Amino acid sequence: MVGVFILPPQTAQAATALDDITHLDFETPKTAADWRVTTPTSVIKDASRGSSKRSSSRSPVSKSSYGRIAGKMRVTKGVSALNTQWGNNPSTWPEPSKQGAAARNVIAQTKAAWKAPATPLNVLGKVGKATNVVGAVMLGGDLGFALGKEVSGALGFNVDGTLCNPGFEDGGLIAAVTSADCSKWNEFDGTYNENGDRIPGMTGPASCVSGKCVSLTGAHLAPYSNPGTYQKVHGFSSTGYAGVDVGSSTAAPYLYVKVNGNWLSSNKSSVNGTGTTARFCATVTGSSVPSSGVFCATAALNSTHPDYNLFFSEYLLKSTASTPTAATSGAKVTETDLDPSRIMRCTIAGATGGAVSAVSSAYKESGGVIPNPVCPAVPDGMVPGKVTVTEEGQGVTATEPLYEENTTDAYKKWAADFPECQTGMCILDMYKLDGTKKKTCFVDPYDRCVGWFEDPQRDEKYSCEYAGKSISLTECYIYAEIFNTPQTSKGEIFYDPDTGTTSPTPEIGSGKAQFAKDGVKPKDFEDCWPTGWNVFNPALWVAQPIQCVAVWAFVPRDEVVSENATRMFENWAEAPPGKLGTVMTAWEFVPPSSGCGGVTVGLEFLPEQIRPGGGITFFNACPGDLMEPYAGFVKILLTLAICVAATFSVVQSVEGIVGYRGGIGS
Amino acid sequence: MSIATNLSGWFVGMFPEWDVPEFIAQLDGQVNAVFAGLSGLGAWVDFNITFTVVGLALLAYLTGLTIKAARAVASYIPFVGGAG
Repeated sequence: MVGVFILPPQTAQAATALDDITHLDFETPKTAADWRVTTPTSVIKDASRGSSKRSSSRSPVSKSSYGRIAGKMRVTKGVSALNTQWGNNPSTWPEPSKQGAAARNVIAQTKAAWKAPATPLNVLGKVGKATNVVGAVMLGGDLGFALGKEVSGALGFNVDGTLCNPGFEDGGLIAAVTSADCSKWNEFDGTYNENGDRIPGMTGPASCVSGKCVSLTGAHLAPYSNPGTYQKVHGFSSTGYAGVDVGSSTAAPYLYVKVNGNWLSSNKSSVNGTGTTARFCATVTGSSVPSSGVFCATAALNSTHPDYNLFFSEYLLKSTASTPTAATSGAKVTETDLDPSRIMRCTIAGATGGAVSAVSSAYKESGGVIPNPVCPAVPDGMVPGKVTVTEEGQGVTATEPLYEENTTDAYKKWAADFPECQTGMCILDMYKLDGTKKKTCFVDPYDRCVGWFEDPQRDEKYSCEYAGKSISLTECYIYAEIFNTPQTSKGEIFYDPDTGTTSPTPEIGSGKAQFAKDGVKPKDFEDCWPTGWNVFNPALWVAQPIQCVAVWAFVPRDEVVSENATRMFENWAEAPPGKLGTVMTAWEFVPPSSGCGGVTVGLEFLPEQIRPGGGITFFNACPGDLMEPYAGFVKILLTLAICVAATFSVVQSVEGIVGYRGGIGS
Repeated sequence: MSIATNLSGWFVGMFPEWDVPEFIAQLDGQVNAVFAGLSGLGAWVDFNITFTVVGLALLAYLTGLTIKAARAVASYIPFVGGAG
């Protein structure tokens, strides 16, 4: 489980500026087995050599004993294992077989005193403009970079989930949140019907117009297109062309395709389906002219010869055969042509040259899913500068990348400064300074860093390093409690955003709280009041609810807002006010039009013999009517009166808001 | 937000089942019929200006009413309003 801890901002004293990288993402240790422990080589070597110095009086293990034990461990596990940057949890280390009871006791104490440094898995920052994600919206690893964990993993980011995975139901929302461009994946609907995606009309029974019939085989449309362009056509017959069988025709058929509103003649022999040209060729059998075989028609189609055209939706077939007949030889396009196998190639180009690439698993349109591209691991020394994904396979000309993203300067700087972190496997280490020397707080049985956070001179006495480079000590504030052995043994040092479990009380009033912004699950209301013996602690009567309020006061997660808003709207939509609001929203009023015919009153109550035809009309003021000269004057007066009255009404309403009376509105 | 949502749900739950009567649903048609009958008076009354200023007056009134109502409700919130 990956949680996101928001650390205090770096101070101006930060030895190494991380630019945009301001947060470190920590794996939340839950059990001893979850700890990731680094074993700095220098410490191991030092320990393996042993030391003549006596240990601190409060050390549970003498340094010499520790050295011996470590030396034995070194023998037990082997030099290579101990020199490996990433060791195992010491609690899982095998017991030296040749130690006596006293030594085993020492080993046990050593293990108990062992501190496991947190492991920053991910540095939160930008990789590219389309991937300005992570951190702020990453919820328990649900989200990833635009291209998913393969790309992210290759770039040193360990994230789960895929934004543009066609199977990801919520991709639209997430894409909107993260600005990821998933359009090229979304265009593929994941369905496949045999022959259904061929050029319309170019398959099946013979199409006839005026007794001229032609049977066609198929051509294959690309599963998706690039925005703003037409669909590419590829996957032709085994010869590479769309087949047309006109039986015993004596003349070659001509094929045309309409692309972007323009008819393209089949005599163009350039790249299939790109630019302003298209290549459609015909297979002619029988006594055709020219002879049988693949023939690319050369005659142009235009509106001056509509009688020769057999329309196939946006595609045209033109045949000069006098009596073209239905095909008898069947389709010329194989199943492989119709549903070719393709791959995606991910290429990572180095910022200073070089490139590595990897290909995805093969996929077919009939499979319904385009797999995520698989990107290669970045070799040591290479700083990724650009990630490109292209499609390759039959009928695909991989000239236009499906995805192309330059890494940001911040990322490149981070990758250059912390090359060992590109795999997400470097630690945040803390040291106690001793003159010109420094000693890690981890791999240490002496508890030399106990109480470091409370030390008012901690800035002078301790240093924080990430991947061997000095950074602000504030980045190590996450270790505020880690050297408190009882807390460490219980594994309750950190706030766990997944379970909501916190260390019992240090968060209240001590200023050590490690607030987790994202992934915070609001506590139940009853949790916000002291329970058990704490109910007798008046301080908690205030502190604990305030803590809850503080948690609630954090900016809620998007899905929480969305869920609550949806629930609220649904509740109201089913209630009478909501129903009434829905009806009122649908009302459409049409103001009276401006006429001069007056108002006509019907006189149906009068006998028909004396009833005026059409009733009596009042206030008719059209040109020539008796009241026409007065209407304009009255209109002006009424308009002024209405405006004055409305002004007074508005003023009165505004006065009412602030409780003022006595103005012109009163 | 959850509390507000639950309060909202509790509040709307107090309303009985009710469907909008047909005459209310079609009220706009009846009003439009009246408006159509008044069209012949366009020479006497500028309906565009009339509807605009009347609409503004109503909007101002509703705005004031909403603000006053919100203040009244907020005054009962503990530690926030002054009525409690």
